[in-house]
Amino acid sequence: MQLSHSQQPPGQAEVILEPGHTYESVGKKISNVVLDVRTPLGWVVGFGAAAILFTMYLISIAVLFAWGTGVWGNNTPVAWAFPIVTFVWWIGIGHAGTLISAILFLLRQEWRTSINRFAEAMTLFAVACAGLYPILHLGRPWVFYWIMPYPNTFGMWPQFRSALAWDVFAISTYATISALFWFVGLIPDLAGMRDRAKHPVLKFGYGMLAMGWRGSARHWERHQALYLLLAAIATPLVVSVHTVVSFDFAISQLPGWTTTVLPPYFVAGAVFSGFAMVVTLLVPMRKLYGLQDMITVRHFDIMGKILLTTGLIVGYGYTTEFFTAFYGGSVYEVDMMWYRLTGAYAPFVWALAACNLISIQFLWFKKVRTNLWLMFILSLIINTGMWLERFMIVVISLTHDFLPASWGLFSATKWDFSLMFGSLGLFLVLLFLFVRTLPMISVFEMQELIHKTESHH
Amino acid sequence: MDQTRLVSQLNRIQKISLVVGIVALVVGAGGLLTNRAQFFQSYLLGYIFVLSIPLGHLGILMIHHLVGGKWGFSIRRILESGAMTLPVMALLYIPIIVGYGYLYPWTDPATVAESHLLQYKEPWLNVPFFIVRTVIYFIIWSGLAFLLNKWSLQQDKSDDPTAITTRLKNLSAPGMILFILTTTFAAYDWGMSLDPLWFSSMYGVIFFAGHAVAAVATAILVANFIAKRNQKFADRVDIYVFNDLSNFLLAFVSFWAYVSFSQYLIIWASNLPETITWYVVRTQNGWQVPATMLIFLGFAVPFALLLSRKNKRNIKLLIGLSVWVLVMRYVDFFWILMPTFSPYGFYFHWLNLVIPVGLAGIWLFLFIRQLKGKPLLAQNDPRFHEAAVHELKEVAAHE
Repeated sequence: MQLSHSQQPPGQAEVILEPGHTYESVGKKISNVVLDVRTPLGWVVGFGAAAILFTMYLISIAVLFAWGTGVWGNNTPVAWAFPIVTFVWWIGIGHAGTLISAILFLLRQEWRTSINRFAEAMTLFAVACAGLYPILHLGRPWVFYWIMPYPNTFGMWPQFRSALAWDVFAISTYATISALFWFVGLIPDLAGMRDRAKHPVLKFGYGMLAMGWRGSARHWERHQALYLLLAAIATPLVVSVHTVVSFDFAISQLPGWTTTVLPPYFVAGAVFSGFAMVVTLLVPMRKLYGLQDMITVRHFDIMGKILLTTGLIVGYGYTTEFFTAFYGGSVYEVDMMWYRLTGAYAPFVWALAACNLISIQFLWFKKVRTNLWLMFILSLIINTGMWLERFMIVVISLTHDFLPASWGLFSATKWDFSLMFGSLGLFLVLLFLFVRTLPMISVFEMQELIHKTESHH
Repeated sequence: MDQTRLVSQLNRIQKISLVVGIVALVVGAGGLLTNRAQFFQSYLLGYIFVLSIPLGHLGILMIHHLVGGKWGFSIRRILESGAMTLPVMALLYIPIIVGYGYLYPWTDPATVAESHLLQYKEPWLNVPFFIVRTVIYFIIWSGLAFLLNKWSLQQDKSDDPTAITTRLKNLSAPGMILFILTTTFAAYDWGMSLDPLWFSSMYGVIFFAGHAVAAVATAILVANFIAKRNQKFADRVDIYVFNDLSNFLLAFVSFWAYVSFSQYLIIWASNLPETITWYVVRTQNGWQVPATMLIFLGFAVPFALLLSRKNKRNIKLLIGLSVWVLVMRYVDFFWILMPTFSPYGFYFHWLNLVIPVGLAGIWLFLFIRQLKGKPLLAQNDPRFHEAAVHELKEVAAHE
């Protein structure tokens, strides 16, 4: 992969938008990705592969519905296995999108402009993948709505002291706000697409979605106010969603689950894995669509620093968790920590340490952060590590509770794996459809960025 | 032009704070004769409360070096002066070493002999190792403060300021890691081990979140004090800087509330015998009063007020809030530390007020001495002008 700055004079590696762009060229370039009739071969191949995985997902769900959760490896004492591990993994990935679109917007970080739309889409699709998992895990997914508090004749009411009931509200709020935020940001661009589209069906479709946007000053004023408001509403969600997910574990009594540092350490882990996923997706995507001038090496440099910071916070979580368990001296806690390091699943735990603690140390070097191949590989390693972390927390703790008589090992079945990789298919299918049908970079915000960079000179 | 007025006023405050500090500590030392245990308990409370401020300054200073931004250049000298008080503040720890026996039950061999768990903890909780750790914390904090001060002042006169910015940045990254780890373990040692059987992995986070709140609140107060008396400083440290600083105040107060509440919820819901005791003591028999104060006055009030931009740019309100938040820092440490010594009911001794005031006086004296010795703005940092120019553009684009 060619680094864009290698042909540029020194200093250009620092820019977030290569020079030479005008309002028009930006709009054209981004919308042409969608409106240009020729679909790149890479898209067809990628979408095809994703569709195969997605088919596997559908088959796995059909099998699950036909035979029940017995097709998985879940069994006493490990009632929460792959479905919950992968649920937490997906919901974590979503967090980077919200952080980029809401918090970095409020902090006036201009570099976020070219990646926020894409990251928000990633959030939505990750939340979709995550949200389906607990429902599939119910065993009787057709009565999932019983978790909602609504007056009914059979006296069902959610147990509000259970964090699982909080989860329902945390995640459905998150999905709603993320979708609204994403759509509101899209409206001016949808209008732009409507105006550029030639085919009447496309014109009509984008026109409907643009909700009559004419770009008047009043439209812009209200749009900006709404966007700022949604950013402010979304900001606490970056913290609250994964905090509630961490409560699922932390408010129990199980060794390995109940430790007070879990909420911030889960949130940092979520942002960590989310940014890793952004890197994983953007490296091939910018190449495929030739967007190197808008998603520059500088973006990867910054994301590398964020990965390093959040990774170190996660490392702090591991450190305090281990230290406090040994310091506290509770037999069960101490035993759990030894079991993690030396027990049946120790290789997973050491692999997790290698992925999440050791591999990120390379990110101290700018040479690594600006080398997209290395960033891509590191992002895959980090996402593997974060999956293993959730495996460590969810599964290993359950196999080894207070009574030796109730210990038992877990092994996954082929349906566990097919559903997990299948959910990746769902995610990728949605993502490929998104880049094919909607502007994946926010046109109007890029134009605003040009306005600002021009006034710098 | 106002330089002399500023210096003379600083001199006066410095003198007053030294006198107040010494008088309060001498009066407090009288407590040694009447109630020795209370003296050491109050001293520990005062020390942890006051030290929270310079520790926060050191942490925020390193964050500034790592991320830049105009707000940081405006208060950099304040943060540096605060951090630079740490080497001398280390000496004020010595009375606590004398009072270990009155504070930490694990120092008493008879208590340890009765408790299997304390015997298990002996390799970590023993006096020599405890002192060694404390010395290590102070060496790391002082070393970081010293180097960051030295290089920053060198930069003022340097022909190659960029190299020094890089150096400051390169120290701050590992420095931040060391800082987080040392403040965590200092919190475990000095605070958590007062209840040697109790533990919580969030404890250190609650402490350094509080340090950050204290640091930002004091920085706002000092920056406003200087800006009122020095036009050149006021030109740089404008209302946008105060807006940024109040955003930090909002963020850190929220973070402190978030981690404190998370710890409470997890321990309350788990209801495990080894951890719930801490909250059982702190939520009844009068101790629920400071707890409730922290929820409403420590979090809800500053949070609600700081949400509006109008308030964030209302300097008078901001000053009031900063003082208020510092008072709440005291209440927080009081509620965290003191119930250990009076588990069966609320108890307030006059020493709990006199000794913190004395230590705060000494600290303020040290702080002003540092502040007077430096130029008020770090103008030679190449990022200073970049940040100032960038901000002008931002303002122009918005208005």
